Order: sequence, then structure tokens, then C-alpha cells
Amino acid sequence: MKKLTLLATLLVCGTASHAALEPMDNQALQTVMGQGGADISLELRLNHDASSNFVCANGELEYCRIALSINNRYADGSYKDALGVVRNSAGGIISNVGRKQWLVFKGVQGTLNIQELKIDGVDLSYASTIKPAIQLSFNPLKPIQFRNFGYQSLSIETDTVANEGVGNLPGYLAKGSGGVGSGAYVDGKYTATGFDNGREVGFTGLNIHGNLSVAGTLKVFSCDAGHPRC
Amino acid sequence: MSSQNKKTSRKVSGLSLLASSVLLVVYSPATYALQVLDDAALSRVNGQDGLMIDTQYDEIQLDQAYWEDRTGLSTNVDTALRGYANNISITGSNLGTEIKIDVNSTGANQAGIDLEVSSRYGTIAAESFNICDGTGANCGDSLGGLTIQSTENATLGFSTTNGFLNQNSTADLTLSLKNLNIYITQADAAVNNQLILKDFNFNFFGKGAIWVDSVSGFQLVSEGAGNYVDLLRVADPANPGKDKPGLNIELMYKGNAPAGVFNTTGAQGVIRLGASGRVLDSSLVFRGIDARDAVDNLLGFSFSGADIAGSGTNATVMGSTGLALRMKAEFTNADNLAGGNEFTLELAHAGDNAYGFEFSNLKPLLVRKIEAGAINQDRAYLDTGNVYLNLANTKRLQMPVNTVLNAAQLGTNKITTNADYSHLVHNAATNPNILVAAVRGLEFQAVSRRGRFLVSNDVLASDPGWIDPNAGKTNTWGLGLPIYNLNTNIAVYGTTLGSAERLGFSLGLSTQGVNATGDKSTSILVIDGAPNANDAGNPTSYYFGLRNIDMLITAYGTVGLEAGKININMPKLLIAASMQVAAGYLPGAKYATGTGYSPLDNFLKDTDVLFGLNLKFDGSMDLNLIPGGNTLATNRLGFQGSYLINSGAIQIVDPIDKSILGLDNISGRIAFDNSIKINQNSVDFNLGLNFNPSRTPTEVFRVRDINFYPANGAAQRLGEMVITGGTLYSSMNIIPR
Repeated sequence: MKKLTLLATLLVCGTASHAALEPMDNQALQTVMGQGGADISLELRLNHDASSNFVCANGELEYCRIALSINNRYADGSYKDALGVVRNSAGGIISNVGRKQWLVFKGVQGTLNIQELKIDGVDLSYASTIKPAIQLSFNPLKPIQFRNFGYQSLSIETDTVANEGVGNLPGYLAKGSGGVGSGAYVDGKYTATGFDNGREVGFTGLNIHGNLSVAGTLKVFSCDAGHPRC
Repeated sequence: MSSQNKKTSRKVSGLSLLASSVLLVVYSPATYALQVLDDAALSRVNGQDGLMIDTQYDEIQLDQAYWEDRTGLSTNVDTALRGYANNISITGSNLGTEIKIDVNSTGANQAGIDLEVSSRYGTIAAESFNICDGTGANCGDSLGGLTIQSTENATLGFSTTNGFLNQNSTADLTLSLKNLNIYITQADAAVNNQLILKDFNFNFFGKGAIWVDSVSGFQLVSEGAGNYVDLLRVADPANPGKDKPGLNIELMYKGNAPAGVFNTTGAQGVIRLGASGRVLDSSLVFRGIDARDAVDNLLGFSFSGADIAGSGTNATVMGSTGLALRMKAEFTNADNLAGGNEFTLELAHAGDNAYGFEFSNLKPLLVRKIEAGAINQDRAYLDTGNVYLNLANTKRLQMPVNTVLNAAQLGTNKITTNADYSHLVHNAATNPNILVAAVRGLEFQAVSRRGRFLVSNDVLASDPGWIDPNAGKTNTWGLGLPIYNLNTNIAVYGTTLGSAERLGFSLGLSTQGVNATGDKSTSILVIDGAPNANDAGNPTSYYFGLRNIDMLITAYGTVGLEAGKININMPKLLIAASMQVAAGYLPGAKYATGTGYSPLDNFLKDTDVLFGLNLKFDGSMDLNLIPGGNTLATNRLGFQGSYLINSGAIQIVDPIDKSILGLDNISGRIAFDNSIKINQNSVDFNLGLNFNPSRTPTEVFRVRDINFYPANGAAQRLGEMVITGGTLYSSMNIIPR
């Protein structure tokens, strides 16, 4: 209804210079593209409560991680060749790969709130080609909200046993102790007084907190060979 | 158990005794003294020249009734099994059946019959059901108890114009079951929990021909001019002046019900499905089947408890006897009412204070059958395919093989192999006797071009959140859920878990994505159907969604009614699918700009496909269905549970060159707490995922291989990924316009 009112208001403004107002009937209103689409709001919360607070228990921070292991990264330089043969760093054939290395994002969290997203079908005209597309429209007055989005620390961790053998503590669950002075850590967390006290061991963190106001539309379509842009 | 195996009737049916005495009076008056008929008695005679039989009884008690069916065993022996209903009672006040028979004539040498049966049956209850061997001596656990209640008479009307069962003359058939409450009761120690079908309606009127054929069986066919079937809406007794669909299936849950007490007080809504309106060119066929040949051996050979396949003529799961039926119907739509009410489907929360959807203006997938030609006037339809009912004894059931899934790439393997289509019924050492329902080739080729929101009858115009029953009748958004070649095996048997009765089950379900000509599909599509000024105001017919879904799901486990929830425990659940995420115009639609049309075989082309999605997950799941609350704000459907993935893969496929990004070798446990909530003008999808809920190293969510696959090439491994744990909540609200 709001849209109809707005449209009607615009109509009034736009036709003020004409002698008589032309009423728009329902049929005419419905020919406005996108009438049959949908408005979507989407909120995603990763390890956050409704107020965007980090919810992972302090004693179990290792269970709030996302870890990546790049293909063929082992602590001793061993690798599998293109044929799957395991070799040491010098190229000699060995039976097992070494300890796996992981890039570990610790304390991953974030709230992403897309307050309004309009989804419609549209025709995308490019030169003489007409292609049906999904049109996503954003409202700049209802920005996409990022709240404490990111990770607390990033580190490279290593398995404790080669080839993920018996008794291996995988790098993605690493929770060791070590370091000295300001870098001392126990149970995977820094112990020295400072900004990172109590945080998990790592070398960098990322936190995005802000609003992203998007104006305009995004059209998504299948890029097949029949389209000059594809 | 021994008491359940007595097959002698405790009492002779009061009905038959009374009926025979009435018949005696009618047909042999001469042998008795003449009795004066008073006015009251005379006034009950209808039609004057017909016959009326009125029976009355206070109660009927039957120890047992059974259905016998023959099945093949893995030892190549065809044997009988029996499905028993135990301790059946019909109770209430002023029970009885009124039968009116009239003979009419509509022309020379033509005589028809007019039969009307009206039954006042109060409460019909069967304390338990179980499946036994052919002697009835060895029975499985109870499948649960069943109670049927109604305050309205069940009526059966049958009126023919020429003969009784005549293929060439029109007959009217009325079958009216209104406002039944059906209770399925499971005992959990001293507590009874109930699944209730509240206000169940099947209010049927059909014009057509009824006959029996020696090969095809019983036929009820409503085809040709003047013939139709109506599902007539039924007055809602709780809300005067309002009605409910002619077919109303409203699932409610009631926990902790006192033994022997059957009412809907305190029951919570699960889901409601409804259908009403006129259908055309419909038919119902009912026949017996002998599966002792290769053509009819649709469920394969019986497997022993040790999982060894039988072979031979007498080893088929379906055996020498069984029931088969098939139903077809074409739906009327807003542009073609055929003199009746438009056919509509309803999907809603159940019980009071419930929102829901109505889907109407059901149309076929193709907007045009000839490019640039006239709009397709075909009607959307349901064809159940062949539905088979059998009692059986086997460890495995066979599903039809889906050749698309067997050929589709999942990494370096195929999504499914032939072995995936032979699914387990259970995982015990000995086979329980089971009831199997199998569907082969179900088609529901319908795209709803108009969706609108509904609210339950109890919500008044003065209440906040009310929806005008006529609101949304000009909506142009719709939802398409066409289904092509759906096959399913559903097996059930009684079992126990500790002191609780459970329903053991096995499920096989498959669909086919698209047919060879591209006019039938299995898809989930959102339709944007605003009038297209470029096409004389016909709907624009943009679609967006999952297209051409080839799917196989197999599972076994048990279902139990537990405190506050319906639990479905599946030690084995396999999900395999291949589909396309696509956006474009429905086949045959004219573009909103220019002169082009969407090709008629659009669903066979890749031009609309954003990406393909192949997946396969093998694991176990514990799933709870949580009934909704009793306010408009809390009546929702919740899904809670835990999914342990033993091996899984999701692959994103480039639609053009078929190169693949694969997340392969997935394992881990994910707990979930999801809900779907329909609101006044929107839908909420709430998702709560808890990765590795018990925080153990062995259950981290791990994608062991992230691979790139060049077109038709071997995997190029990028690495792997682990989510050690954590929670992900997603709440999405969709407002259709």
C-alpha cells in the first residue's frame, strides 16, 4: 500500500504541469515491473547472540574456529606429487606425508543484517540481446549492517603427529602454551597484560563494524554463449 | 500377545442381526400377523415406492478383523501374512445406519438405482494394529491404536441411470465424511501420546461412470462433457458461517492424553493441508496384483534377515496378491472453472490461530505449446501413478533406478550407483512383517500462479492479525512445485524402544528432474506473474528457483510420539540430488520487452541456469517436529535435531562447460533448530545451526577436499577446511508482492 501511495504521490508531482490529472487504474499500476516480486530481510549471526556479543565459552574457544589447509602443506616439506606419490622435500619417495599445517581463523564471529532486499524478475537489454535476469535492489536508507564481523586472531598451527596418525592433536584444535614476556601464552591464550590478554594466539585480527549503504540494483543472469558479454 | 491372536468374534454383530430381522419383516409379511403402522413410522418412509432399512444399535464389539495378503519370502516361498485390527469397538448413543434404496427409470428399457446410506457411528476405535503370519500366531508389535470420532453422519450416495455398474451410463456418487477427529495413539509406559487428524473432511461428489472390469478392476471414471468431481467445502462446526476445505488434513499433536479419552483439548498444531474445488477428467482404478513375474516385480526380491537376496518366482516382495490403485484428476483454474468452484490447495499451520497459504490458479509448466501461439489451455493435473499396498517380509526394498543420478558426476564418481536403490528396511537380524506402500510414477504437474495468505476460521475480523477471506485474490505471485515421476517406497511396522511404542519405518523417495520434451519437471519455483503489457496483459511468468531436481532419499528408523514432540530417529539417511539454480521465463512466455519468446524446451536448455548443484550426504539424523503454540505469534512448525554426516559432498557445476567446484569428503555433526512461520503477509525461515554441538574432536565439520574439476577432468585439490564448532543463526523474512 505504501508503494502505491508513494507512486501515486510521485504521479501527482510529475503531472502537475498538465492540465488534468489522469487517473491510473489498477491495470496500469500493475504494469510497473517488479510488482510480482518479493521483499526479503535476512539476518545472519555467527557465534553471536541477538546483541552481537561473542557467545563462545572462554574455556572452549578452540571450538569457534575455521581452519584452512592449503593442498600439500606439511611441516617437513613433504608433498604428494601429481601422481599421488608421497615425496620428501628433496624429492625422494617416502611412505607418509608429514604434519599438516593449517591456517586457523580463531574466534570467528559476526552479524550481518541485510535489512531490505527486493528481488524481481527483469529483462536485461544489452545491444539487441534480451536476457531475463534476477534483479536485486537495495534501499540506501536501510543499509546492510555489519556488527563485529571478522575473527579475533589468525595463526598457522601444525598437527602434532605426521600423516594425522594416532594421537594427533590437529592444528585446528591447537591450544598450546609457550612464549615469553609479552608473548607468553597458556592454553592457547596470551597471559601478559596488554590489549590481547585472554585472546587466542595469533598474529592479526579483523573486525568490521559499520553500515554499508547500497543504492542501485544488481542483476544476476546465466552467462551462456548466446550472450555477447559472455 | 496371545489374547490378540484369538480370532473368534466375542459377540455377533448387532448390525447384522438387526438387519436380517428387518429384512425378514419386509420380505415375509404374509407369515406374520399384520401390524398397524402408526404415523410416526410412516413418516420415516421416504420416497414411498422405495425401500428403507433403518438399523439401530448401542454398541458393537469385535475382537479382531484382518486383511490377508500373500508375500514372497527370500526362501522362494509364497506365504500369507495378516494385518490385524484388534479390539474394535463402535460406541456412542443412537447409533445406526439408514439405507434407502429406490429404483428409477430414465427411459425405455432403462432402470437405475438410487442408494443412500447414512451412518451414525459415534466413536470407532481399534485398540491396536499388528502384522502377523498367516496363522495369526506370530505377531509383531503394535503399530498404535486408532480412534475415529464424528458427530456428523457419514453418507454414501449412489445413483445410476441405467443398471448398477454400467460403463456406458452416468452415475452420481456422493461420499461425505465430515469433521472427523482421527486419533493415532502410541503408548509410552503409562502415558499416551496422540497424533490427531482434526476436522478431517472428505466431502466428495462425482458424476461419471462406475464399473468393474475383469482385467482393470474397479473403475470410477469421470470424463467427458457434463462429468466432474467436486470436493465441496464443509461447514466448520466450531465457527458458524465459515467453512473448511472439502479435503482437510489437519495434523495436531497431543501429549500425555489420559487412557481412553479422545478429544482435541490441548492439542497443538503441526501442519494442515487442504484441497477443494472442481476437478475434471478424473479417474480412480482399484485392482489386485500378482507380482510373481518380472514386469510386476516392482519392489524386487525379498532379502533375508541376514541380508541375502532371494530369487525365484515365489520370492518377490509383493508376492502373489496385493492391492493396486491409481487416481488421476485435472484441476480447474481461474480461467477455466467448468461451472464449479476453482480448485485450490491450502498449506497452513494447524489448529486455531493459524496462518497459512492458499495456492490457486494452477496451470501447467508450459505457458504456450506453440511458440508465439495461443496461451496453453491445458489443465494442471495430479496422476498418482500406480500405488501398491502389500504386506511383506524383507530386509530391503527396491527403488527404480534414476539414470540421471547414475550418470551425473560427483567428483570423480557418479552421484548414485545401482546399489543405492536397494534400501534397507531395518538393521536387525530378523525381518519384521511390514506393510509397504509403493508409488510408481506420480506426477503433479501444476504451477500455482496465485498465492495468498489465509488465517484460521477462529480469528475474527475484530482481532488483530485477521485476514479478509477475500484478500489477495488478485495477487500475481505464485509458487510452482511441479513433481515429475516421483517414486516412493514406505514400509511401516510396530516396534518398541524401551517401554515406548514406536512405528518402525523405511523410506525410499526419488524424483526425476525433467522429461525428454521439457514440459514436465520437478522444481521449486517462485513465479513473478505481473501482467505483461508486451503480451496482451498475460502474466509475465518470470521464475526463480531450483529446477529439474533429480533426487534420491533413502532412510530407515523409527517414529515416536514423545513428550511435546514427534521424534523421527534415522540411523541411516542418504540424500542424493542433482538440480539447477535458475532464473528466467517459463517455457513459452513472451518476453516483457522485444518480440522474443522463451523456448518451449527452455527447461532442457542451460541458458537460464546460474549454476548446477550436485550433492550427496550419507549419515544419520535424529529429527524432532515441534508443534506450534496456540497464538498467532507462536503457531509455527519447528524442526530440531542432530545430523551426523559420515560422508558428503556438495558440488557447484558450471552450466556451460560443466567444470566443477567441489566440497568433497564432508563429515561432522550439525545440530539444528529451525522453524517455518507463516505470518499475516510474510513467511519467516529461521535457521539455527550448531556445528559440533558436543565439542568433540571427532565431530568437527570437515571438508577434507576442496577440489576444482576441469570439464570432464580429474580433481585438482586446493586444500581442505574445518569448522571446529560454533553457532550460525539465520532469520529470513520474505514478503511476496
